[in-house]
Amino acid sequence: MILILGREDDLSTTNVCEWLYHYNAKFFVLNTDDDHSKIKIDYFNFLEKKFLIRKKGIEYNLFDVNVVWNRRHGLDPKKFTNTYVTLDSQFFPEEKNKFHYHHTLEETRTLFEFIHHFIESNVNYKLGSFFANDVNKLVVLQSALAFGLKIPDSYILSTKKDLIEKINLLSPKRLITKPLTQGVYNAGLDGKYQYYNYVNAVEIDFVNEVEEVFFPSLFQEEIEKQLELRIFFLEDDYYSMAIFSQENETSKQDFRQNEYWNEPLRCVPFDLPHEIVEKLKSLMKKLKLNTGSIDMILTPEFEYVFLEVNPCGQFIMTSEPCNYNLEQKVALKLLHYDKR
Amino acid sequence: MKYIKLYAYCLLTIGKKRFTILDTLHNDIFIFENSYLKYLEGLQKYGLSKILEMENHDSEQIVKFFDFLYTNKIIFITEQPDLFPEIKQIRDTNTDVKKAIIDIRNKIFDFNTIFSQLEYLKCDLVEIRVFKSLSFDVITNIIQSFSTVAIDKIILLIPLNYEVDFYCFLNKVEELILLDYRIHFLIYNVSEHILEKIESKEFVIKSSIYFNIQFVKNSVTGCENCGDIKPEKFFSSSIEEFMEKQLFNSCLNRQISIDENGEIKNCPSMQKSWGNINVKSLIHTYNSKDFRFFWDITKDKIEVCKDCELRNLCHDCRAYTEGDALDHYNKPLKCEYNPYA
Repeated sequence: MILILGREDDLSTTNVCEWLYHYNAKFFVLNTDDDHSKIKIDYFNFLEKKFLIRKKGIEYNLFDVNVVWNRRHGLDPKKFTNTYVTLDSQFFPEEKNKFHYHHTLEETRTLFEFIHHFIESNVNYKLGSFFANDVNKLVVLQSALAFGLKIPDSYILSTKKDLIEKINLLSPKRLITKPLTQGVYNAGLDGKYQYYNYVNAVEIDFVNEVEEVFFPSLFQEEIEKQLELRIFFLEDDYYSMAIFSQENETSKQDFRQNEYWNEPLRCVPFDLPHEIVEKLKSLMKKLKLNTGSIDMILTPEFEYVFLEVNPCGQFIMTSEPCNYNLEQKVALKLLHYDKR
Repeated sequence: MKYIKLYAYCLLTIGKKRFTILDTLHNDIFIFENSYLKYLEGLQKYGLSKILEMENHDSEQIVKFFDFLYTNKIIFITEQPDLFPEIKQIRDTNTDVKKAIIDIRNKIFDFNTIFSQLEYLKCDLVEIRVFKSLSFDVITNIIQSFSTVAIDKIILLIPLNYEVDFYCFLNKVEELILLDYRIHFLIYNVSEHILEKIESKEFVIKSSIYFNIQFVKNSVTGCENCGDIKPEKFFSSSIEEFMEKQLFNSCLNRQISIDENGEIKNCPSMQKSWGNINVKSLIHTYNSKDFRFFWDITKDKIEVCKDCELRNLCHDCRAYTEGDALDHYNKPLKCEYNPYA
C-alpha cells in the first residue's frame, strides 16, 4: 500500500493520485490539513502489528504501508488538536485555550512525530522525508558552496550602518532581501491585511527609513538574470525548465510577482550542463533529499548560480509547459517500490 | 554569434502551401505561406545578419517576418541554442476513456449500469445529448446514478423548455448543479430574446453556477448536426492535445458512444454498431482491437488532410466523409477548406 502525505489544495498530489488510480494502485492520502473530523487515530500496538488510522470511515493499518510519499509537511498537530473538545471550557474557564490546550497539542505533536518516524522506518521506500522536508536556507547555501556551486554573495545584517555600507560597496549591483524560512502567507482574518513575502530589492530611500538596529535579516547581492531555471529532481532523474522572466518589469526579481494574467510566463524545456547536474546531485544527496525543486539563475555570462531548493515545491509548473508528465513519473516510482 | 530559436511552446505544422505556428502559451494560431519556411529555417540555422546577406533581395520581407515573430514571442535570440530542446511527445494518458457520448431521444437507458461500466473504464467525461424535451425527473434520475461514480465531469445537452417559465427552468438546473459541481449543462434552442436578456444581465445567472451552465441559440435535431469543420472557428489547443492529435485520430481516439437506439458505436453518427447496450458491455467493446481501429487513423493518413497546414488543430470527422463510406481515409464531408488553394 502507498501512503501519500499531502495537502488538500495541492494539485500535484491530486494529479499523482489520478495516475495511481489509473494503474489500480492501492493507496490512501492523509493531508496536513485533515482535522479530527476527517482522520481518527484508532488503535496502536507494537506486538499485534496494528496501527489503525481511519479516514472517511475506511480503516488503514500503517503496518501495511510499503511506500510513503512525503509530499508536503506531514500531519499538522495543531489542525488535529483544534477540533477536539479540550477540558478548557469545563475546568479552566478563565484559562481558556491555554494550559490544557497546550498540553493536548504537545501530546499530539509527540504522537504525530512517532507516526512519521514509524512510517518512515517501516516502509520499503520513501519519497521525500518528513524529517528532511524542512530545509534551512543557510545550511543549503553552505553545502552548495562546498560542492563548488556558485551562490549569490549572502549576508545576515542587523544594523543600518552595515546595510548602507554593503549597498554602496555593491553598487551599481543591488541588494535583495528574502525570508530565511520557506516563505509565509497570512491573509488577515478580517480581510483587512495580507502578510506575505516576495523577493524584493532594497532601495536606498527605503533604507533611510529603517531603524539603526533591526531584526537580523538575509541580504543577497542581486544576480543579473538571463534566465531563471527550475530543476525538478526525482532520485537521479532531473527535469529542467527555463523561465524567460526578464522582459517583464513586474517579474524581474521574483517571477511570482508577474502579472501573468496579462502576459503569461514563457517556460520551455532546458538542457542543464552535465557538470552542474553532478554538483546538484551531490548537494541533494548531502541534504538527504531524493526529490525536490531547485531554483537557479543563468546569468548573461552563462554562469549558473544556485539559489535554493524546495523539497516540496510545486512541480506542476515544470511538468505542464515542458510536457514532462512528472505526475506519471512520480506515480510509477511509488508503484515500482510498492510492487517489489 | 547569436542564433534564433523557436520557443518550445510554439508548434509547427507544415502543409502543401502554407504552414501554421500554434502558440500554446498565448493561444494563438499563425498561418504563413510556405515561401516563409526557408526564412524561418535560415534564421534558426544562420542567424539574422547572415540570412540577410544570403537573401539580400528579400531583406525587407525577412526583417518584417523576423519582427513579427519576435514581437509575438514566437522566437527568441540566444548564443547557445543547444540549451533549449524541443518538447517531447508522450503517448500515455491517465484516463482510458476521454469521452463517452450518450444520445437520448425516446429510449432511456439503464444509467446505473452504463456509469459503473464507464467508471471501470476510467472515463473522464460523459456527454449526454438529449434531442427532445425531457422531464426533470428523468434528468434527476440520470444524475442520481452519476452521483456515486468516480467520473470527472458530465455535460448534459438539453433543449430549453418553453412550457415552463425561464426562471423556473433555471432554478431546476441550479438545484441539480448545486448537488454536484461535476454537472454541467449546455442549453440549446435558446431564443435570441432570452440570450439578449442573459447578456444584458436582465436574467440573472447566479455566480454559484455560472461556470456550469451555457446557453446557445442553435437547435439540435440529432446526431447529424455534428461533424462540421470550420477552420475559422478552430481554437488553439494545449501541448498535450496537439501531441495527441499527431499520434491518434483527433475525434475518435479513446471515445465510446451509445446512439439513441442503444447501439454502441465509436461515434453516434457512424454506421458501424458494435452491438446493443442491452446485450453488450461497454467494457468488452472498448477493449476489443476492432473497436480501436479508428483511433490510429491520424490526419497524416487521410487524403487531402495530410497536406493541410491545419491538420494538427482539426477535430476531424470519420462519420461523414467524401466518397465511399467504406473507405475510412477520405476527407471530412463537412469541411470546405482547401489546403491546395
